[in-house]
Amino acid sequence: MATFAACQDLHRHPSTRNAGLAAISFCAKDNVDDELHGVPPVTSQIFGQCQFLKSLSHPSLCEYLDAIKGKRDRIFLVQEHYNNSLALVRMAQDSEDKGAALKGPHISKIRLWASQLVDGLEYLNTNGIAHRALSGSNILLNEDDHIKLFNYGLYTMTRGGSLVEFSVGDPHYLSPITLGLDPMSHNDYSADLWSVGVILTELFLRESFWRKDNLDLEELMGSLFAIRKLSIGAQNWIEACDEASIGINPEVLRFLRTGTRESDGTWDTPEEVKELASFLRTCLDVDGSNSKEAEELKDHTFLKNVKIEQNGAKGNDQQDQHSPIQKPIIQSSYLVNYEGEVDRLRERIAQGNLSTNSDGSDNGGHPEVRHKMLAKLPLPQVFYLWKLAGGDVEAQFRRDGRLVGTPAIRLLPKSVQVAGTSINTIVEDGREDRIAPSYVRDIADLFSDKPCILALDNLEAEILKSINEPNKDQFSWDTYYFLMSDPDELNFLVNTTWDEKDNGSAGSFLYPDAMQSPSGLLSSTAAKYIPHLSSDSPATAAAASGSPSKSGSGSGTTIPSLSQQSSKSRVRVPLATREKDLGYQYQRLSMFTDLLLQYPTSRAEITHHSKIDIPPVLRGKVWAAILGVIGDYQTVYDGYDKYTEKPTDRQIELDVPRCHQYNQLMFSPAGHEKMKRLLKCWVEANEDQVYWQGLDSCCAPFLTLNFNDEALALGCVQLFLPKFLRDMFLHDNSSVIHEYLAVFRHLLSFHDPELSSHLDHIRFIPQLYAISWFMTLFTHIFPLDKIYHLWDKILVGPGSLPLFVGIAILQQFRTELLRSEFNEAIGIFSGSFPEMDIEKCIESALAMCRVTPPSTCWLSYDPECRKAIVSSRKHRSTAGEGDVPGAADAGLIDATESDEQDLEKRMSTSSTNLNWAEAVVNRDEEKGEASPEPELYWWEEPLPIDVLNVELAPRIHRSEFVRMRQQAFVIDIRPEPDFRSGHYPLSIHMLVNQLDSLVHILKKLKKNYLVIIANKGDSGPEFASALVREGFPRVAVLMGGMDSLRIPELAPVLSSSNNNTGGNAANGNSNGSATPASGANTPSMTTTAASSTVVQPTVCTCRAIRQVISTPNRNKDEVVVFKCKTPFISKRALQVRRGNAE
Amino acid sequence: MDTAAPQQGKLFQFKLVLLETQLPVGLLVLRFVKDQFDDYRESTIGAAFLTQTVSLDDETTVKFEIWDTAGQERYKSLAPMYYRNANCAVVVYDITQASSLDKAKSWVKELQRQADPNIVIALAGNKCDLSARRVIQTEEAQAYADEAGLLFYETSAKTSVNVEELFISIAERMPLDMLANRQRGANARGLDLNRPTESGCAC
Repeated sequence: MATFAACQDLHRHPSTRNAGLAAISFCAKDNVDDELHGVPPVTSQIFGQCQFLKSLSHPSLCEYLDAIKGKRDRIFLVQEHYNNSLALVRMAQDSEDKGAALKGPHISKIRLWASQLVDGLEYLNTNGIAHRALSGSNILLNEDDHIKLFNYGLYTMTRGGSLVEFSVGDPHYLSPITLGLDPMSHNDYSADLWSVGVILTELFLRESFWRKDNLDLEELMGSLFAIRKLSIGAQNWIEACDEASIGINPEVLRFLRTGTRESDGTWDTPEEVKELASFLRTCLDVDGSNSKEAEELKDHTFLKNVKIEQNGAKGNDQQDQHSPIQKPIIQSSYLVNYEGEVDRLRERIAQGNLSTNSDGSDNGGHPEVRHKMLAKLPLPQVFYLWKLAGGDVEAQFRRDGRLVGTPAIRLLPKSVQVAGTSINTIVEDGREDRIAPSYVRDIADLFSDKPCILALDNLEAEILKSINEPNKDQFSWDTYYFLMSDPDELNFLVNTTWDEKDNGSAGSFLYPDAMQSPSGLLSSTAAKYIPHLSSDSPATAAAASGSPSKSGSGSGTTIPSLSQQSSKSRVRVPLATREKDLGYQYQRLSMFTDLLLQYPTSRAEITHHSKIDIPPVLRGKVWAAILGVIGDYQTVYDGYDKYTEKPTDRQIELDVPRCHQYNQLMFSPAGHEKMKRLLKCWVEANEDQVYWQGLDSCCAPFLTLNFNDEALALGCVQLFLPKFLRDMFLHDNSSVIHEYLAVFRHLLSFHDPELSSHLDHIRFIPQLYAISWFMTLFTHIFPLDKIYHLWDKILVGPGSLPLFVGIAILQQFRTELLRSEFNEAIGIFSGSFPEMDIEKCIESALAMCRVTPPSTCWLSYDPECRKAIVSSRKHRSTAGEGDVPGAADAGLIDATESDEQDLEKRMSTSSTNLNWAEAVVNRDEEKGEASPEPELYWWEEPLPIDVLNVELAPRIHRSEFVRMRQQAFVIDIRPEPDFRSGHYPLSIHMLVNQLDSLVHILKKLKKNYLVIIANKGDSGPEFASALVREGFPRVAVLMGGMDSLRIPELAPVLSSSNNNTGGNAANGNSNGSATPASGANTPSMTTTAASSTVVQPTVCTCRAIRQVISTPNRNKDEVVVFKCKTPFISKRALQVRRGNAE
Repeated sequence: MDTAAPQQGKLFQFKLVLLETQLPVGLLVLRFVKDQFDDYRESTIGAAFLTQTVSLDDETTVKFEIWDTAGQERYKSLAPMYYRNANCAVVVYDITQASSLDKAKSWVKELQRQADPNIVIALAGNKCDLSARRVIQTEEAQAYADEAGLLFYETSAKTSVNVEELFISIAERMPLDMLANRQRGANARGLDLNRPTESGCAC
């Protein structure tokens, strides 16, 4: 079970259903001086440390939602919040008439609270946190009077208060143990138990623990020291202390000693009271040497009955007993409610009924839930929406008059330090402060206990308003983002065998949107307003597309309708707008939350919807889902040695503090530690690979998105690198990189021949500028915010997409580059690109990717590439795949296994052909496919890097040639005799040296592709390069030339009717041997033409070509006609035709 | 440092390759080019390219095209691509790391064997601001530099000690009488079908 898809970020614990949001704020210590000596700023230290708090989840805790760095070392912490607190309970007690009948908390309530407090503190303690600031005001109560600890992280995140200039904790509740000790030495919670003891005593006795509430601080400290001294000497200070001299309320002391109280007219039995007193004595026990164990306290007779009591009284809080609560906190019924909510929302919108408090019937015993929509959302999402609705924590503080601060003018130093003089002092707000001469801190409100409430009252209405805005249907355009294509163009991303094994991206681009599926169409206008609302999409989309094994054909049928969608009527909403749109984000959040809860079943669905966009709050999880992280990745991660020193450590130590340091998380010391651990784990987990500089940048996006889950970050990296940066981190990666760059160069020629030949001319080769692009998938050149958006698309795209992104980047500088000489060109790329428009970049990259035959991107070291060929040769019926869980089940292990294979394969690079086949076979055997693999033909073998580097144009595979033949202009440059003895019917013959005279004619031809057919070892690639230099786009050489077109398997590929007679021609390479193909398909080869229907078009086509070429310019006619005047019909074909006629 | 080349003077252009055996990479060159020192500069992957001009006198300006190679040892295999055609090279070692001088020596050997025979090589012992942690003595490095015929400076990218001096003395060592505009190969490869791309047919 994948745990990332089921943790607290996706669920809301029922006990928090009415939680509000609140923020506290404090100022960190100013360490300007230390920073000069390499100590990170205090705010960064705190910021890094408090990230961990966000991962805590326990019924007795208020969840931490966010930490924000404000101006001037100020930090804001956003937390779950409730209005009621023990302090308020106490105040209510005090305001009541003392003489009236005692209405103080029932002792069973005290017992319950005590138990919940101990639970919460114990959970904190197991996570290495001591509260140390407990007081009545930060023990909140939810509506069930359940304890919710608030602000418990302050002490830990400020490293025992040493990073701030105020003392953490209320002295009235401060434990004597903590006095005079090193702040971090007492990390256990015995100090907190003292506070619990004091607070509960006060609550029960309705008396102040200390003699009077406004006990002088000095006296208080004196008493605390006295207690401490007593407890070190004697064994029990309660018995030993002198009532007169110690500052404790005499009534409290008497109660603690005797277990009875003065006014004993309550319903509590004396035994219970005695037990309570005993419990409190244990809490207040100050034994410096050994701290109280949690078990010891939990087994206290006072708490023993608590479970029985709770189970009897409160059925709906049962899960509180699983202590400490592990994520996920989930109830199955909860999910149902959630889905129902979406339906209700949809109905309400359809009816135009926006009243937020319509019905309270379906709340199952919690009728007072205030915000129905929000009540189900996890709190971090609520906070995110609050921000989208215009919320700003710092502004909220100012509105509440909390950050009045000192006017800037008063912060100027009042006296200037003359060299040699001593410290300046100023008196401000009655406080005396040492100040640095050049920098005066605004000390107003260094820390305030009082939380600032972030109001949620209008949020729900805002969301509904936003959803219902009149122009919202514009957003639905984005559904076609990936599917849009020019009707005159091919789309190689649709319906290809490319990457078919990966379910997620296979159907991928051809995947019909849920809204387009038959069941989706029937939905009325409501569907338009809520294009992707979740509740129906998993069902309908799964039915429509399913997994390719189930209904691969179903998806194909909807494509035409999609491509015919007119693009003009709709305006695409930019990503930036979508990410800021409250209603849209609410819907996206709801949908992705739903889908993630069903992960891994919903993986294909998630991938599909991610093509539109990914809600930023869920990005980390959605990425993990797209990548298919599954299984117990935490255990895997825990198994790696992160601490033993390794030779690469030094490099890692040097790189990590320089990696994306503008980012707050990456800059924090905690971030450095996490990154180092992550990299060390990676090194340990990938023994066949090594740490290359740049890997740190690649890991940064995953770490920042999963800052509290290094294991998940590693899991993502482990799946991400093999797909997009395959073999880049091998010890010897130069062949990998050079081949990648050669392919990049070919693709650039394919799409922008002018730019490519210019760069080639000025010797501005990709090796000089693009290594860092591809080694780090652009993380080295773009900041993380851009990387998130870029990778959003790369993750759901084909593995070749980064290459096209590279071209898109070059093209954004096209005009400058074309004007540039070498130095200027390199100057453009030596900096970063602040102006780069990522969305535009991605869009043009996709546009190029769509029209590019995937075989142009084949990489010799990537077995997946060749696998596509093999699978195309096999019967289609066997191409079905297991569903996602099966394929992804291997998870991390699978990745490492295949890496090992690659390593083996790379060991023997010489005889690639054989190894290729083997590798492919091996992989398929793993998958349990028994069919034997055909060998690769000579033209399918990878080319040596030297050859690739000389060529400018890419090569395409015949399977794709077949697809694009209608839009391709085919030039055959073989010697004339070869051409006469058989050629592709739609091709023209041309000799290499005729290019000059024919260039202008070729330029008139409006064909999308130019394909060169040449003999093996002939000058085909050079001819293609020459065409590129002439500025012809989309020039490619056909792999294998005529040989590849003569092989028997072509027929089934060519025709969908698939009358394959193949097999009777033993070897496709047998030159010129006519293969009788019974297929009655127009496009076929003259050589294989056996039936009249084939021959006839051949003659016609030749004539047509002649016309095409001759019409523009008559006097050029003879050149072409000379080449084409003998339309070739083999004698045998004629015989057959005659035979047929007879 | 005068970055503007005088109009009437001679401008010489040289390709300089910076080979570092010790990290952080590129700090020396950053100090030279931008007069900045930034601990948090991202690491160099592949290579980074920078230019800087130095004025030797009113008449002569030298422009350096600086290739800053990746610091990590692994990227060494890419280095030949960058030092090919280089006129000068700066090999940097770290005076606080004993092994770094040995690595610097191997770079020098490789350059002398593989690169342009007229290449001017300078040896720079960086981090001389950290003299307390010094493990490589000046005399030792100086002796090696004299023996191998290298320019030698101890520099600090952090405090900019000797950084400019280093580059100026390299400029002075260059054979300025030789016209420095090195030709970039216009030699067409493969089939020579080159012709102006703007040729279009009027018909």
